[in-house]
Amino acid sequence: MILFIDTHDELITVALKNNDTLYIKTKESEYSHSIYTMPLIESLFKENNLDVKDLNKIIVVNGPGSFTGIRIGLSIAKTMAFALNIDINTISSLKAYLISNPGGKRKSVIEDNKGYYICAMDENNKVIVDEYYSTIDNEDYPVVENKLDVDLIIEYLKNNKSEDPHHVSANYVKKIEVEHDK
Amino acid sequence: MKDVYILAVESSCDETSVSIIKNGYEDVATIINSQIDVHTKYGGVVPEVASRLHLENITMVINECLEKANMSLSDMDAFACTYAPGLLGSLLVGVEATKALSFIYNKPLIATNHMMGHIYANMIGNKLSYPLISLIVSGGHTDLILMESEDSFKYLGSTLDDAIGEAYDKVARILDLPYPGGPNVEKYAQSGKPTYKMPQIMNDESFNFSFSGIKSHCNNLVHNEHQRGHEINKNDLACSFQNCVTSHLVDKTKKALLQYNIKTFLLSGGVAANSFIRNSLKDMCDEIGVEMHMPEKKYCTDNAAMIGAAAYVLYKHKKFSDLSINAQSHITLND
Repeated sequence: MILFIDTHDELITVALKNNDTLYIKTKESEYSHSIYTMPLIESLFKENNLDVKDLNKIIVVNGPGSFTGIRIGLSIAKTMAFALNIDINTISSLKAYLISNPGGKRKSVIEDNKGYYICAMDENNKVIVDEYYSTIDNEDYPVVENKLDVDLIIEYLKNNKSEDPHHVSANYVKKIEVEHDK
Repeated sequence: MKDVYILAVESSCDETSVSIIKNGYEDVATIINSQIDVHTKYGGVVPEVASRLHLENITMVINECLEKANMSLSDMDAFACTYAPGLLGSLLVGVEATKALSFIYNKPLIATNHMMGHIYANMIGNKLSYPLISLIVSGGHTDLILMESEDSFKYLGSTLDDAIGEAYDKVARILDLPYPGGPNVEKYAQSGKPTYKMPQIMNDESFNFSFSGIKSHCNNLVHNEHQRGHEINKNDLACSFQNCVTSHLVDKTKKALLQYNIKTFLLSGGVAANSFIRNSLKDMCDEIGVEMHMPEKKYCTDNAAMIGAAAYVLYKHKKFSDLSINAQSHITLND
């Protein structure tokens, strides 16, 4: 059984894949990810009569996106993976969107108040433009919709080795101001 | 009665700490991962940097604590975290990690107030009797609190402007002492004399405090001396400042103890690690026949042991939280 967690933007997505069934829950939230995320995960298990002890893998989106949002999902994911001693894989939000929208050469873009996080892949899901942050979006590829397909993401990561939960960290992409100064 | 083990997580500022506390007073294991070296580079705590480090360290610190205690997560009766007050991004890491543990092990989640933790640092290895008056002195608080019982908090007075720890840090900056400012001011004061004239601080009938005036006074004093081409004696200024703010604390506390006829006094908070303040309050308590408790210095600065001790009080009163609890930056003990 696999648990999927994405808290990088205003749409919280949590999902459970048990055998061939995918249970999914979403919630719009601007500043209340802490209020909703863990209860959503709890309800996924309770409403479908599933036991957290049967989990064997967690997939968590580790950014880029809202710094605080990312940390909420990651704090839950790495603590669960550590406590249950199960596999954990991270995926970037940009790559998650690209994987969810297969096709030819394409880019995903996440906009924030100062610029754009950008990434692009080709028809074989090979990265052709590595993730970066810029105040302008100059990449000349069709842009995919910022929508997740959890089944495709699970499939994409299925052969990836587990990461060490202790070393799971955020993919902020953007530097913060004090880092620029130093 | 069966022993109660609580695993507590503290992440409200720049320390990632995890403790296992038995029956509210026995510190089975405590790990404190301080970020002080990182923040020294920036001259103070940078909230975003602090939050990032908490996330990187959280499971390692939990694991280290369990190994030190030679226990496992399934041995715990409850999971506690600091949920307020503090830096939001930092608090959230501990809060969410603790929620995950509470969910997995189906054990109560205890959201604990950081200031209550500071007070209950006095419970570790100690027994308290009520009523008592508690003085919290830290970087964010200077509060005099009357406690009729272990879960009742009546604010008698608070700082009207800066907290005492904040004043120490600002004076450290004025004197060009490195971060962390407070402990460095204390160090300089040790070999100084109170030669600089300081203002009389708010000698009124209330139990409130004020520390912004003396900070401005120190600032002006340093500027004036510079303009006259005089060197400031940092040791003497640190000593003059420390004497002045300490007597402000002692006077107000003494007045509260006498007026409410209270025989037990608790000191707590990060600034309670300051030896001069500890000794001065102790002398006053001895003089008026009040029993004074103060935590060991290691339990004064932020740590999870005090959160576990406070969480035990909440555990006894079955004050549990559900998984929707959010972190909060500002809160009093009665919210």
